[in-house]
Amino acid sequence: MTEQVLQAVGIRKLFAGVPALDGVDLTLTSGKVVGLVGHNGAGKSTLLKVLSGAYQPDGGQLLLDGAKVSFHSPAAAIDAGVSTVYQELSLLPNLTVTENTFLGRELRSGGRLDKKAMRESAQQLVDRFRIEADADRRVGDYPVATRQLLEIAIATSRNARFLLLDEPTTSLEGDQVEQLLKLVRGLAVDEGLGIVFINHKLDELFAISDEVVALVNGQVRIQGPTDRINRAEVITAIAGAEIPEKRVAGVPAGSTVAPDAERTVVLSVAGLRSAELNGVDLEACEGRILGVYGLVGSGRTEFLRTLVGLLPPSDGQITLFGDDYRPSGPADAQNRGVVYLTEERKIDGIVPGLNSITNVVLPVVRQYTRGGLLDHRELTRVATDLLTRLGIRGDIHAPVVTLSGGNQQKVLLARTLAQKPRVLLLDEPTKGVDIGVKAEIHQLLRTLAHEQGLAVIMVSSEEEEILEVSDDVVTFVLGSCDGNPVPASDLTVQALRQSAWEAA
Amino acid sequence: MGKRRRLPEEMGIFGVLVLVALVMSLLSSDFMTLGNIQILMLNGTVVAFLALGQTFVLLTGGIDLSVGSNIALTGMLAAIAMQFGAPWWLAGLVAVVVGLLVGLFNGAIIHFVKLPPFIVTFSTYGISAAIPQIVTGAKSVSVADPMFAFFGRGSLYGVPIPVIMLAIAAVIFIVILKQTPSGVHIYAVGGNADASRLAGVNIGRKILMVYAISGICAGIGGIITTSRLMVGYPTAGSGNEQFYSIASAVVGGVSLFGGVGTIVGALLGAILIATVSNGMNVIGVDSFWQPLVIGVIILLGVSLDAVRRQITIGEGVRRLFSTSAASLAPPVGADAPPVSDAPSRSEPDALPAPPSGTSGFTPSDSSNR
Repeated sequence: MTEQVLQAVGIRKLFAGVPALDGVDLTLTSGKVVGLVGHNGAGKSTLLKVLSGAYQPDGGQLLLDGAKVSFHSPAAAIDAGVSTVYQELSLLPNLTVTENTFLGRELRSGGRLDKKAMRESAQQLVDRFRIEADADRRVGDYPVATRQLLEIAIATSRNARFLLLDEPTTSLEGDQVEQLLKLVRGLAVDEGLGIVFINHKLDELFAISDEVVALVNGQVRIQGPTDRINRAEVITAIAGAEIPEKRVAGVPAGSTVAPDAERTVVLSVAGLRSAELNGVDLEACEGRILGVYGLVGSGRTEFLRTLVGLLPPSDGQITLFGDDYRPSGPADAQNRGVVYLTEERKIDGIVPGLNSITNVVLPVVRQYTRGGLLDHRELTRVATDLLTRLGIRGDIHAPVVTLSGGNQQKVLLARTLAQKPRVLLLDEPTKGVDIGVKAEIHQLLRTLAHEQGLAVIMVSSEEEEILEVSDDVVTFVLGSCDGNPVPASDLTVQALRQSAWEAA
Repeated sequence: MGKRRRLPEEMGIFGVLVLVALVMSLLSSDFMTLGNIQILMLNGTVVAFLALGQTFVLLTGGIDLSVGSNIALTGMLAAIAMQFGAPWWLAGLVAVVVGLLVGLFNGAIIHFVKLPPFIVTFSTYGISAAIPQIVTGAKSVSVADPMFAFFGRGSLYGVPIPVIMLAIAAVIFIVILKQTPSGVHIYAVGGNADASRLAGVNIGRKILMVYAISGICAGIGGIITTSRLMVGYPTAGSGNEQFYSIASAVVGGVSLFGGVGTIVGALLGAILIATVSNGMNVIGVDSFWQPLVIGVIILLGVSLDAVRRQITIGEGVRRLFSTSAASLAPPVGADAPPVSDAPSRSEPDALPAPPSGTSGFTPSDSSNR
């Protein structure tokens, strides 16, 4: 296997005169994985798009095996052996695995599609990557995790020599992540691909890469072999400030701790059952953050949605502040002080065309009227106060869709706070936000619980987040939860994973 | 709004309207006469009423195809009511209530049976077109009570009563959309129904409300139509009214996908279409040219709208005065309402342009106007 090298030298890329990339050097060598980290907006994705031909650089050049190249289009990059897998899934769900594999380069025999050859070839590809999928089935039939693996497999099938991966593990968890990391590692070692791997999760990044590159404001801040890079140093560089590193063993990283006073149970759930739930028992206490861990499909999201009346329970008892609680819907739940933050920001979170202010006050506009008419001044003041408190960055008078993901998440958090919750249900509160915003949100949650006495239930798939933010942790397994909270300080990532997988 | 404030939604359509009016008055000296303007407005009011109702429906992401035949249904029932001795005001009330009920029926089926608005209102279109013909044996019913003519033929200080009713309705609708919680909820439901549901918005109530408003508008359209002719025609409203009402709203910047648009825009759209058909009559163009010309105008209007949505005021000013280097000067003049002191004013303009179809609607928005 001859060694091949794709080099980016002094790449500059301007948007509206503002440099997104400012003289970036990056070298991809066959058989090596480069881990690329940085803040949202640091230029990671822009760099990837320059390498993949989606963007033309404004300065610098690309060298393939020492010869100058320029990719005028993504197709040109693919022809040169550079394949890209973006964050969003790009396979067409209504087509089969085979059809997706050969999209745009269908095999023909005698003018007709050679379905048999394509099918066999696609199945071989899938098998080679040890993906449990049938080439004849539609991609949409498979769970997200499998689709993500299929994306990568199909990307490499186009004679790829270099592979660019933009946060491929965002929607995966636990063993799925491991399977993907193994796959990527294998592609480098066995197949000799040169790989760029963008990821926010440093654990994964350090586990897989040979070299780590940290981008800050469009420039390379840290670059070197993985074994010689210090994680804390990377976090400091990309967050632009000291962010508490995940605690090593049971030492709380947060600034506040739940007071160890007597616990007041606010919400108590006993034997809750529904189509997706198989008996959930748990208690949420005033002033404490209850972390809810579990695998995807273990019923955590369904549990939270049942608590605000979005899904009907079939059996069980819910008690809220000592009273029976059976919400008819989110509005009813809100009246009782229970507010839910969705996991799917784009699906049932933001209203994209409305501005941040309207998005924040949407659930409570009725409370700000005078003689039936809206009190715009008061609404704007309330929303602006909340957004300022959350440190929003961006134009809050512009449609919320123009804000970055992290700021959209802050808008949604502000919306939950505008509803003056006493019980806060959070579903993956930091999904898809960068490290800096994540730390801010964690701090906010601690303040809300420990200083303002809210009962917080937080679902998260990130073990580090569960351990860092929660006071107590429960685990969902196959739609049920035994309700025995374990103090987060007694847990480790390994113990958490074990608790979720032992019974699964 | 910060300095990224977009051009007012209705600027493009207003420009086209002025242009068309100018061309028409150059082509015929009869166009810009008081008498003709009265006729123009009078002829445009029914479509304008339908367009206002249609706007509510479109804002939620729906469509109401039943308004055209709803005119026949409500207008006929008003005439029949008077035949049975009902006074003129009661007949008017009958038309409005029937329109409301048709709207509620549409909304209820759409929301509770979860059917696409297109299918439901298309079915209602057929039903409400057939009922008046069945009831009367497809014969027209003349109105004897001269008081009923007030709705369609009366005028106040030279302004036709239908135009006055339209103006009142427009003001009420603007207040509903911009100044009430229901208005915010209607935009939200059209922008993202799932998110609205999660935020506690009662979506069913909003769906019923918008189709009810559309039905009421059709009922008023029925009153005006019957009153102008003093005859209830079972086939009234089966012409271009339906098509033009949707066209007016869309040309006026109301998105077919929901969440975007204003009453003022829809009104301007209706006036534009009325101006074009009237203008062509005045300059003596054969009537079969009208749909062609209006079709072209819709295409132009929507295309202009799509382009306009990509351009911020700052860019617009820069383009207009491209020789001036100091192009970051704040926008001035009618295009730039008072700018609130948002904390975001120092944000760089590096945010990605929103996809077309995003709305600039904000509660603070209207208070700035």
